[in-house]
Amino acid sequence: MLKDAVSMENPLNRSLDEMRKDSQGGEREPLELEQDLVAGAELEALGQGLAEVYSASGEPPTRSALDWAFEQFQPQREVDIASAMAAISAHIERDLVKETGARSLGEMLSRARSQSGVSVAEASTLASMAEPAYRNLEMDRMPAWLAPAQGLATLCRRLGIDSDPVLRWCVVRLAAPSHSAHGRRASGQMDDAAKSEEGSRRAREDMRSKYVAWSKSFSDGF
Amino acid sequence: MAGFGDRDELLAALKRFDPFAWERLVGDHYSRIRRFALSRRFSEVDADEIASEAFAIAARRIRSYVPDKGLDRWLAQIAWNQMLKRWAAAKAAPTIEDIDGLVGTKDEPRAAPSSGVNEGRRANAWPNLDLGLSRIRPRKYADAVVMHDINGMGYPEVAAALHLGSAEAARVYVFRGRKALKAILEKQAEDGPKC
Repeated sequence: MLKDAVSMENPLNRSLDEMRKDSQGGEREPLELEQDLVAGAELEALGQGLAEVYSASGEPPTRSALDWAFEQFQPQREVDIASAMAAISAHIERDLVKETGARSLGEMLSRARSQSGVSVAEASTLASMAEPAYRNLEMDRMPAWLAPAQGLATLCRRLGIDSDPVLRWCVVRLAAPSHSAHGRRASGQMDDAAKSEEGSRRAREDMRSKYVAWSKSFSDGF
Repeated sequence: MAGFGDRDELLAALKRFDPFAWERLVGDHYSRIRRFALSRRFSEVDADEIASEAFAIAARRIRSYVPDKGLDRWLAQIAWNQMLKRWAAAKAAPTIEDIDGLVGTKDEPRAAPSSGVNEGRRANAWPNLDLGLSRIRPRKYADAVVMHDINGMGYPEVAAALHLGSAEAARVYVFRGRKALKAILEKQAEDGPKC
């Protein structure tokens, strides 16, 4: 069994480091090529066939190809995580607009509610929210993670909305820049701006922590 | 950034769209995906686009992710599909050469379009080859075949990547790897489909 497991180890999953260790280890063998022109041509054809079959197989790139690319292809500039996250978030938003036909979570809820013939009063009851608060949610004046998680999950189930788009809309909103911090910076002194920046960062971390706790409870509600 | 004890914990957090988990994933893999796109001759701007698209698609599919190949290769596969789409789109815009090709010339008739049937057959042949590659010993010969035939690297590159010393050594390793693979495939054919 163990022998079988070892022999099944896939070279496509091997890292460049593992390969290097093996290519350096063991006895040095003579490097004379076996002289057999017919076999050489056959083996060349086998190599080409292997490349074709692999590309038609839909297999992911090999780990060694990724390692080699990482080692050899240095970008002109490194990417910072924040700007990468912002770019990813923009793509997620585009996908969501295409998938749901709505431009925001609030609009998605509002449309689904109308299509299901559920009134605002009923929806707010299902979501365990006061009616004005629920209206704020539909108008995107209130982030979803401030709504009761279980209540919102109940409402979503009633409206036929899966948890996945709700959570992805939340991710998009979390990645959006904090407008209040920018406003304060524009009107204040430089010291104030630095304090505001720090305050904004803390508020953002706090908001994300709240979201994490909320998203667990929301997911459990499905 | 919050820590995630193990892969399962990270995966569970990714599936809940925990932004800390996604930041971790992006921090760990974004640069690799971007450089992979650069290695396939995409520009810096396109490589960024491909990487961010790949992560957005990953967000859409994370719930159905099965951890059989590792997150890095899963992400790379998504990015690779994006690259193929871009190449196909670029090819779809006809060039003068394409138009000439479609019309054909008196001496050189138009090439027959691919039916897709052979593609399917080739894809079905993969499991046998994959298994065959896994059985090549010593492993360094299989590695050389993977680098040359599957990753599409030339002998000097294979030698540099595997620290073999010379392109000739890489050529010998690939030769021996293919020879071993051929023998394994012949044995598989003799033993029947169960092997």
